[in-house]
Amino acid sequence: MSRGVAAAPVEAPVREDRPDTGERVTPDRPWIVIVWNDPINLMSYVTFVFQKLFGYSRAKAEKLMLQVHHEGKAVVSSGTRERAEADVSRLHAHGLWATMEQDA
Amino acid sequence: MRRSPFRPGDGGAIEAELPEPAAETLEHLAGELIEALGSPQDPGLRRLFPPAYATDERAQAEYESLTRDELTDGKRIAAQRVIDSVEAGARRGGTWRAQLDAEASSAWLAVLNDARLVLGTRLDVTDETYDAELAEDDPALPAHNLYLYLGALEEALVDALAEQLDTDGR
Repeated sequence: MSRGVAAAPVEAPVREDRPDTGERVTPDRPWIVIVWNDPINLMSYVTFVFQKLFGYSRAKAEKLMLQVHHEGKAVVSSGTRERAEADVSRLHAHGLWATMEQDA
Repeated sequence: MRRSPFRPGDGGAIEAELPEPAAETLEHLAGELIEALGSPQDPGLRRLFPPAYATDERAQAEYESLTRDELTDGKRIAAQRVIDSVEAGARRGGTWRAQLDAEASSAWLAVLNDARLVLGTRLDVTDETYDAELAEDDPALPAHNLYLYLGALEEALVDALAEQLDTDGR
């Protein structure tokens, strides 16, 4: 993420190599929504989007944003597949790099 | 010290105040965004439509067919709102002013962010190059400076919107 006026070096987004899970979907395990770090989105913007979309407090939103920033990714929500897909598309509408997968 | 270009106003509105050329640049970028959205193969758009499923191609294709049109429409509507609000703003003494209602300020934020995503992708911005000082004769310098300027504008708008969100007690 970009710090804005003073940018700090952070890692480029990476993808995990996971086997194709399409054929082995078990309904009882929740789906998780992951936001990945990227060099363009501003830290303040990412925090604001978490607050706005999920109704998180500023403190919780900031904590998640910093997790994305420092660890490269963070789980921001979880639930049914439909719910996760809706969250991912709302995050995509706001330009965040979000993916979803079934919790291990 | 210069005032922030975006400040929380009455009734959930944002007071916007920019140099006229800056407002025109935003209007122009919104127009370019609408144009780019019409050519889905544009590589600059890649970052606007990230995959939901990183490894499951079939699920990803399904997700894309379900969401792509809606996402595109949302971006197009936001860009048009920015164009309309620039046109509707007051211009005096080289300064452009407008009161952005909640829909308009969301549209401005979306377009600023999308424009930076497209520009940043085209410039191949990384965390290392973001801050880099470019040589004066570097052909990428104007785009790089625009990218930084849009970042500063977006930061100011996020600050104003976040202040409003906190005031609303959410």
